Amino acid sequence: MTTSAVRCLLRSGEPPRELSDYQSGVPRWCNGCGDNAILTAMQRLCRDNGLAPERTVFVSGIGCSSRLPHYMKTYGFHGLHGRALPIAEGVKMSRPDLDVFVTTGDGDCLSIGAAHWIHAVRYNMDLTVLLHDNRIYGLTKKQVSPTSPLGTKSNTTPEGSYLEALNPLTVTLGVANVSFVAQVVDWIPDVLYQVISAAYRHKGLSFIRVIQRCPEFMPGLFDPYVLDPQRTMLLTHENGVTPTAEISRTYRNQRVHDPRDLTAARDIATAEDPIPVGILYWNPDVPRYEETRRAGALRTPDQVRRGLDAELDKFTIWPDETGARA
Amino acid sequence: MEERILFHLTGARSGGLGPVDGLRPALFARFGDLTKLRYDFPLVLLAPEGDGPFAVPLSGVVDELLGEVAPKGLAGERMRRNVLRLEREIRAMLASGEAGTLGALWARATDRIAPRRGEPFLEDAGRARSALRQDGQLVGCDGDVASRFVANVWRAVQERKSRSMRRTIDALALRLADLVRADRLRSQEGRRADALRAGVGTRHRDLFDFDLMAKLLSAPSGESALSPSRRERIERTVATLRAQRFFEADVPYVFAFDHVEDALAAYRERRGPMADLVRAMAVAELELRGAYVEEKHDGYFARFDHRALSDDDLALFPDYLVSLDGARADMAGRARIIEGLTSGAPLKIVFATDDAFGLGAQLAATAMGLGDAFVLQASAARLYRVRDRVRAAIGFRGAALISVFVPTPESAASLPPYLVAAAATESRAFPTFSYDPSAGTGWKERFALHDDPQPERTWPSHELAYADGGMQRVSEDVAFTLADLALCDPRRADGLARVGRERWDERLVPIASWLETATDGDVPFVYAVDERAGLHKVVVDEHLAELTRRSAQAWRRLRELDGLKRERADAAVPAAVPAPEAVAVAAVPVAAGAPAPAEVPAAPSSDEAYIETPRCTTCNECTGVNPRMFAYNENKQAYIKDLNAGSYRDLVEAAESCQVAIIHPGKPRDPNEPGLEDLLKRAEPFR
Repeated sequence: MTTSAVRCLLRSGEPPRELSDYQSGVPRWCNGCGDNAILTAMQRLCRDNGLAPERTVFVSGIGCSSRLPHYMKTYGFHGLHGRALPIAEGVKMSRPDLDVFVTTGDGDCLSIGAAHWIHAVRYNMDLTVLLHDNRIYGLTKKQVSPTSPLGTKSNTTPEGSYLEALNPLTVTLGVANVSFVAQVVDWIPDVLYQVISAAYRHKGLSFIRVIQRCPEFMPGLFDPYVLDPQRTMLLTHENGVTPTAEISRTYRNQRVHDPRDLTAARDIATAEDPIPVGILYWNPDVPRYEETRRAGALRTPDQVRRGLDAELDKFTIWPDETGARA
Repeated sequence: MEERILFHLTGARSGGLGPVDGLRPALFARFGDLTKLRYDFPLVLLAPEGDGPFAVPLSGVVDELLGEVAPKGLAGERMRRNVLRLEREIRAMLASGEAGTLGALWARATDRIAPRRGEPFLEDAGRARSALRQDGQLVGCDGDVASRFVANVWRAVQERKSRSMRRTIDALALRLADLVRADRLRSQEGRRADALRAGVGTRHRDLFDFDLMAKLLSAPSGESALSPSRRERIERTVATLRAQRFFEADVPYVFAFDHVEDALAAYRERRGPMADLVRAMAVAELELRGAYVEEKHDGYFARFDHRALSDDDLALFPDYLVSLDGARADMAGRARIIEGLTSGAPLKIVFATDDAFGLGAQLAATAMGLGDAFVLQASAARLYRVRDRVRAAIGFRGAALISVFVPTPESAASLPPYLVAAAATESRAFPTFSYDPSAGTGWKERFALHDDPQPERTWPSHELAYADGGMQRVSEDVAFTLADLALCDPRRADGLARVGRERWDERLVPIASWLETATDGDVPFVYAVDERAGLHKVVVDEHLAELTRRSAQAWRRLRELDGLKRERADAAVPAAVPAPEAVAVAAVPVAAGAPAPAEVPAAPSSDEAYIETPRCTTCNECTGVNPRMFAYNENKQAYIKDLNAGSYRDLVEAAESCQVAIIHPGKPRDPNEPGLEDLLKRAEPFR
């Protein structure tokens, strides 16, 4: 709850922000990597919403995608493999006033981090989660990930992969308390930006799967989709994506989809060709964990100390007359 | 002069015209003792949680209870009968003036019935009672129902607001105090042996040599983070935050009043402390962010007073509830209410009146004209149905008037109050409507009628069936008008006179028709029944007939306002014919919720090189080919910065390397560029 005086004073003292205010270093991603588009969309979001860098946090796990916090001039936490979500949850729990973004990859989130992913969706904390899904482990030079298409030849599967790919959308849409699920592709930046903006505005966990090209290790995987706009199905709605005229000119394959319709969302999530792009599901009424679990009363340092002392005293071994003190 | 005409014109009864004592509107013939009927009242006022219900009808509570504890079919029949018996007793107790919570009345009603019904009844009542989870005060459709109903919502909203604000204020004060504390710990004073000793606690104090520790720590690692002026400002701010009296304070302000002028005086008196608190909160937030700059902010905050408070700030504070039960709707009273509504203070005025004929009935319509105040009008019988609007009025940012018709013993004689309240709605004396300035900018969005009976007609009409002189069934459609309502109100009895059956003739005209098409010599009448259900015709005098006419006009005006909304809705139905271009471009099925199609710009000619900038994915390929020719715009998407800064070859190579194929090289500018033939071939796919 901020008074209008503070809002006004904080705004008035600052010049309008620029993209460069959020840029840090030169990305070490390969040329043509889809991560660049995601990074730019994030920087645009920060600029357009005037996010204070010192009140914004990017948390990541391990992988190409997880280098993103390095390139944002905000707070960042490059975490452990698969653990981006629990770290972000901790940040949000102790500092609910911060804007917390999570960037994670298909290997990071859907494999080693799968348990955290499911429960993060269920907790529905106010986090914006971007799943960079290039369908391969790129940082470690090509091993199959849970979303690699069947038959993918890689260092771990030289004969081709044996399992059907996991569909992160259908899984997420099946978890209780899911509140925001979207799918975008890195090659339609306008829609990527619109969806990330909607996700940022959503109060709850927004899960965005960004289908992303890896020109180095999965070259040409998405070329048929990139070059033939008919193989992308834009999901449009007044509560979802409203494509600009230029986008509509290129992407004419559109479907009106109300994001409040979970059944339709689950149906759309199973589609792979054409790739559905837009907001599949959005429900602003799902309770958030940080609200449900917020302590009823404010704890003063004295109260905390007394409580801790009382708890620790239960386990203290008291030195007797002949014991430790002797 | 014929005596009926004489009465109509002068109000003087003579000859065969009798008083209307003991008569009631003919359409009431079927309703007598309402305690046997199950309807909206009595209501149980609940302590609401969040947006949960704040009132439920007793019958609803009982139905839910029975659904839960009474077995289905015959097995549960005894329990159903006994619990419904109990409900009826509670209704009768309330009607006879008893009061209390549902739990208390339940117990008393059980005690009363038990001697007659014995053990089985006690068993059923006990089982049902133990399953009863909802409890609260019971209110009937009379007395102070309006103010209690509204106050219940108001209290819940204020408590929620208060709880949340108190948390915010406490958190600010605590975090500010932490700043001072942390500063003290690292100061010379904080490093003295006694301060260090106090910091360790009692248990292991003897293990340390605090004097030695104080010596080791004697040199602070840096200067104090708090300048004297900052420390003083923080301490002053903490003191202000802790002394506030608006939110869950030890000595809280009172926000419920019985007079508009008291509420206004309190509001005006508290504007100073409000401004102080908002300033303290603002300073605290800036301090905690480390964003307080004395040169910039001192001057602003020195002049900060109530004029600097924004609507958002005011909305953080409690609203002022003014309950005007049974208030006199005279000119002075009305002027005070209008002053309250226009003062800028967030007053929520509950105006309960038993006068459906005078100024009280016009107050809400007058207040709508003010423009900025939320207005809700309903009779007590409709309160439960418009509960969401009551909640909206209380949640509205700014002043609100809730005008309710509540019958009193003076206005309703011995008739059940619910019946009279319902009649006030039926007769158009107190139509149900709301005006919500936050809903939009025009009347269309702001005004709404709520479920008034037969809204398409001037008066609602009902079938009246009776036996004529020859004991034959006769029925006719009879309108229910303001004059019919007057039969319920003993204070209006002077304007009505009973006509003996022998004088019924065609010159007596039902008042609804009389108002439309009266000819000279016609006299308006309304039907009435006596206690034995005998039918009477009652002549209406000129004054009451005029009030009835005005009431019809007022209703028509409301209907017109509501009609604006319907006209708009009708107008929105016909589908607009799309322009041919739009159809060609958006080969998309148009469905509900579809975003408006945007206008499509034409693509540049294929002779000229261009980039579809909005589709650029920032992959650095083209800028790698020639950074002087290609550059990023403010959104970090590529455009052709300078076509002359490179060759046609650069354009073609960039187009080939572009991951999303959005670079179009066009035609070469220099016809003498080497290898042009090959380049043109390579550029072909990117035209």
